[in-house]
Amino acid sequence: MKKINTIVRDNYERYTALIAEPKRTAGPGLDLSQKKGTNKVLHACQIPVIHSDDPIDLWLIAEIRIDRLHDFKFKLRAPSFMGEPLLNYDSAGPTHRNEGVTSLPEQIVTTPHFNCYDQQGRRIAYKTAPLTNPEVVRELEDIDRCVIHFYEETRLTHDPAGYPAISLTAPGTLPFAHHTNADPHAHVVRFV
Amino acid sequence: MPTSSASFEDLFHRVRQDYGQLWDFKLRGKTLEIITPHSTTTDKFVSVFLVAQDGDFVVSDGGFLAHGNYIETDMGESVCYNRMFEHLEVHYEIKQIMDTVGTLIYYKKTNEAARVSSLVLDVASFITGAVNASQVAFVPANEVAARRRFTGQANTYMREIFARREIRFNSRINDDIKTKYSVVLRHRTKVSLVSYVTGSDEYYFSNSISKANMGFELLVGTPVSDLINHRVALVDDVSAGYQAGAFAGHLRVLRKTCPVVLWSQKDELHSILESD
Repeated sequence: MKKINTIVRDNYERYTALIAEPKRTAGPGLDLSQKKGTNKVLHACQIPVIHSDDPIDLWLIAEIRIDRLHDFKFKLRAPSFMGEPLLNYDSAGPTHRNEGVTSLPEQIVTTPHFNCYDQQGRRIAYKTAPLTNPEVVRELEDIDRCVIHFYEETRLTHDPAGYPAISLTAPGTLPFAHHTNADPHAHVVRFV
Repeated sequence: MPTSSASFEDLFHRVRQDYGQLWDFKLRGKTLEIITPHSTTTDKFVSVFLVAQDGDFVVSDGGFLAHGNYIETDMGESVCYNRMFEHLEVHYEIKQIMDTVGTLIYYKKTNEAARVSSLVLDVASFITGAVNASQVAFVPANEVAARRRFTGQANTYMREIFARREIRFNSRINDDIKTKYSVVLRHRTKVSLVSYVTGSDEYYFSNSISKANMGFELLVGTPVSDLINHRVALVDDVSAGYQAGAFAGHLRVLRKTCPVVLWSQKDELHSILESD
């Protein structure tokens, strides 16, 4: 039997309200200049999110691989409600399989995609309309642009400016080079 | 409902066509990402990464395993998982290499173009197996929850009755003895040990009795045994495991090693541990 998120299934109304109702963030923005744990290439940060009528502890999390800047994630988390993110955006990484769909070829959802849960508590992937347009997808490989799309999709507003600024490096340091579709073998000296 | 071999054959062609449509690729620098029809229990299709190097072909996981790209929540390390991972590594003859930014990459290599498909099958099967193994709950969730609940209650109680003593939970006596004890209670130069016995069913409960017994027996005849003041087993007699089974025999064996205190009679703990 498939893994079912019973918290979502049993509290579906609250779950959808957390995602679909207006929320806001505030402050200087997303500071992705800090490493996540001991990982050399993964940078991460989180900022609090205020929901319009649910006083729950809510967070926006951003992660980016600084050796391939098109590889990033946005997550919406409510740790007191459930362990997994409520919703996330994966710009890169493996293709998702939506098992609920009848025809096998239609079960494929490549990245970039959003993940959330359906009414039965099954984790599903979906593409918004812009994510099905290859030209827009190329633009959205830029995290500065993609954050706007994520804010629209999850009904977030940032104070001020509508959406947050993203800083990848500490002030006074050089920016990272941006490689589109960077080669996962780029840092291998030699396969033996 | 198809009954003739002709319509079964049609279905077969449909299956093969649908399967075939799952394959996809993306060019990433000098590397070709191949999205395979292999899928994991986390609902991801497995990608492998093909690159040429001096006339050799390399098929790798692209660092996706090390970066946790196939899983949502880390299930944590376990001996069982590590053994399964080793089995898959050995079976599929997978090599590994660390790149210059610290990503561990799993791969296979060949100098024959004709073997590339075989490598794709091996590496994709390896990834599927490793991801699926990582999702197995080797200890059932209700056992984890029951153990956490009893440990929490017992620790709180111990802290209350020995508020003025140095007390450590789930700790070793010293670095020489690898076994951990539920409670290590210091008493001047000596220590007293308490092992909690609990379990959500008969299996886990009897295991817990054996573990407590073994933990105490291991100390007999070692230099640290002179440091030990008291050894006590604290038995969770309200646990589902205790109530499901007949453990009189097990507990009789345990009593030969140490005093046994039932949680429902936990007042006895204080007098045993405070006596000389």
